[in-house]
Amino acid sequence: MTENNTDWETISIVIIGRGGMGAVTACEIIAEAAYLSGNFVDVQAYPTFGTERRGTPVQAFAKLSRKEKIWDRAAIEHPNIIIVLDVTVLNEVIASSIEKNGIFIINSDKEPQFFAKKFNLPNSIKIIVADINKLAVERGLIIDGAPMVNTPILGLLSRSLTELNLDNINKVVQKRMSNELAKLNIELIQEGFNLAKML
Amino acid sequence: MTQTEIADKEKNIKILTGNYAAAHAYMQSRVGVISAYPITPQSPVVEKISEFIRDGKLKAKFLLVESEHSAAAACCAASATGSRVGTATSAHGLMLMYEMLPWASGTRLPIVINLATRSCGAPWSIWDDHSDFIAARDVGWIQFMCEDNQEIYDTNFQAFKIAEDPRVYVPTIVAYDGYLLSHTLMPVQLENQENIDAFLPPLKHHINLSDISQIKGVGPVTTPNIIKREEGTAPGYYEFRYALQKALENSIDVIKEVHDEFAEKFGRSYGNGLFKTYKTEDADTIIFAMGSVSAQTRTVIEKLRADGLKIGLVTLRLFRPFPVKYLRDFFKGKKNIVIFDRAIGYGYEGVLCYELKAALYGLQDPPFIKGFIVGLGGRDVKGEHIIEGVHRALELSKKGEITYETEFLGLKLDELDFLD
Amino acid sequence: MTDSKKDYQKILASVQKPVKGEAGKTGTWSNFKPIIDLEKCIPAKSGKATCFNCWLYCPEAVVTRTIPPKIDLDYCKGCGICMEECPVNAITMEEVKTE
Repeated sequence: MTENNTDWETISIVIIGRGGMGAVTACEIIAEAAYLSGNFVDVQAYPTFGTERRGTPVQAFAKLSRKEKIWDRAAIEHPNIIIVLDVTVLNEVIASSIEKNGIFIINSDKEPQFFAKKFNLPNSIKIIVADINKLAVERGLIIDGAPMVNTPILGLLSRSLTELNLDNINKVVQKRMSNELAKLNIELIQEGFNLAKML
Repeated sequence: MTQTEIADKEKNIKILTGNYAAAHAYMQSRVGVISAYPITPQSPVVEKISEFIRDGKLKAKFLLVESEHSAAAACCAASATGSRVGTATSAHGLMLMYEMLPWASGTRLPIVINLATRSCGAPWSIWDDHSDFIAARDVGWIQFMCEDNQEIYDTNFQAFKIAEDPRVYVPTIVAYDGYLLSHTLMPVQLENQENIDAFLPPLKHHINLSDISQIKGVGPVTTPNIIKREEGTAPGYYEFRYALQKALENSIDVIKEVHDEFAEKFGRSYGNGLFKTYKTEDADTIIFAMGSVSAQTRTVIEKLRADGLKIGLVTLRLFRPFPVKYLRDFFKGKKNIVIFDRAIGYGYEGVLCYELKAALYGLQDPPFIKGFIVGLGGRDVKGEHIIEGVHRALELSKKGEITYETEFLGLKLDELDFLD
Repeated sequence: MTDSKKDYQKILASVQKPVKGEAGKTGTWSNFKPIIDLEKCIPAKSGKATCFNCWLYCPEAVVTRTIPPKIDLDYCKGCGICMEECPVNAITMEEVKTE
């Protein structure tokens, strides 16, 4: 399996999920880890502007720039990377918005081919899938009765975006959480990384 | 980047939202009293400040009040006791504060308001435009508009220093686009407290009502004439307002001075402190905008130049006092100005548009000026809208056609199914 | 001409120290002035520092807390509250004659 390094100058990332799943937190961790890596001169992370409620479909966004300061304040129309925390939120419109060489990262027990077929995605789009839900349940990463998938799925992202670097993600996670929780999260990020099925 | 540089970054650079950048600036400014009322998208500013106070990081009094009007009134009273005072608000919050704003400026209280801009209803909208910012234009406050989170952080220190300068003593608004900056995380270089303290010494106020050995009242009735009595003469309303206007006019020197001092101490500058220029050296066509609109414009300047246009950008940073002299000097000899406004002076046109037109009155061979409205109520301002506006303006310029009607970019009337 | 740049910097907030008669002698506003009948007035009659309702209720603070109470007619606006509050009806309002 080749770890192709994406060479977009600015990388736009959209995370989709439901309110309470931690999509916004995940975007913040991505932005901070990317900045820490030293490979990006400027980063941004932001939630869907407006109101958010537990359970409703939500999106969160990140922009990572290698060379230039990010002045773009417009919405992301064609994301380079889409991360799906909850497949029930994924629909045609979102799937077709991805940039033509984009990367799909999906939390699911299905195979990557399933999504390629379902959404008629061209070969140029890379699809990475792992059953993070199962992983989180097995390892007891459960908060308020729901498996937390937002951090473990970042392992999959660092698989496709190697510059992000697992170490940096772990460092940011450590900073944001209590010791024990951080430890479990970091383990799961690593396991998510190993579980990744790619197409 | 070397390992030590990365380590340095970890220490001093935080990834913060605009709101949190403002809150950090308040904390490091050692604000003594804060009074605020929650409103989207500002609320996280004061939430964070109350956290700082709870955690003992900021020794300040947080006054809980029942409305923005009370918040502003409490800020005025607190400031008159000699304390450094700050608050934050948005849209209707600022409008409810409005009644107190001329009291603050008329009493020359150096209060700072952080304004996360938001459109004003109706209809109800919590999203960004500059309506609230421009609504606070004529009450005698200094007004800054920021373009990124670093600028929010930096401008706050400058705002206090300017507002508290004995040559100025004028309250100040530091504004930034709601959501686009208020809720977007960006890297922000935080400065160490020692350096901030050296830059921003404690407030030396001209009033101190906390000194009860001297019983005083603030803002009593002033008559149309000056008041003559045995104890001496006292100015009338007219003299007080003259002094406020002169303080504002002359504050431009102080604003530049403070900006330059900040730049020298911390290594970050924002144009001349009044406005920023981008690719204007050889440009005959200039785009004039502020805040998010200007930021978005930066992404298309290269593209427009690649199409053969000699085009640059001027980002207005200081909206009040309007830096007329400096703008006249800059725009002298320019051929075209394209202005993008995220607010309307309803019944007239985009506010920046008519303000700049007035500022350039009487210039020889004045530039052709065309303004557009963009992004009201948080409608996405895209690079393509800016490009469309520039081409439209240049086309009109070529024909020498001056239009008076406003033109809105990014309208979606054709997608409304009940229209023919 | 004075240096206007410095001048305006000296005109800051309108701050007021308490002075008598900030707005001139308000006693000229009144059409009626209070007269105390010392035969009826409680402190005057008893020689004791008591009652003083007129002093307490006067909104302009022109009544002294003395035996007998005195009214500063230079600043009395003639509102008549002292008359209303006097428990023994010792105060009457007399019309001010204007020439």
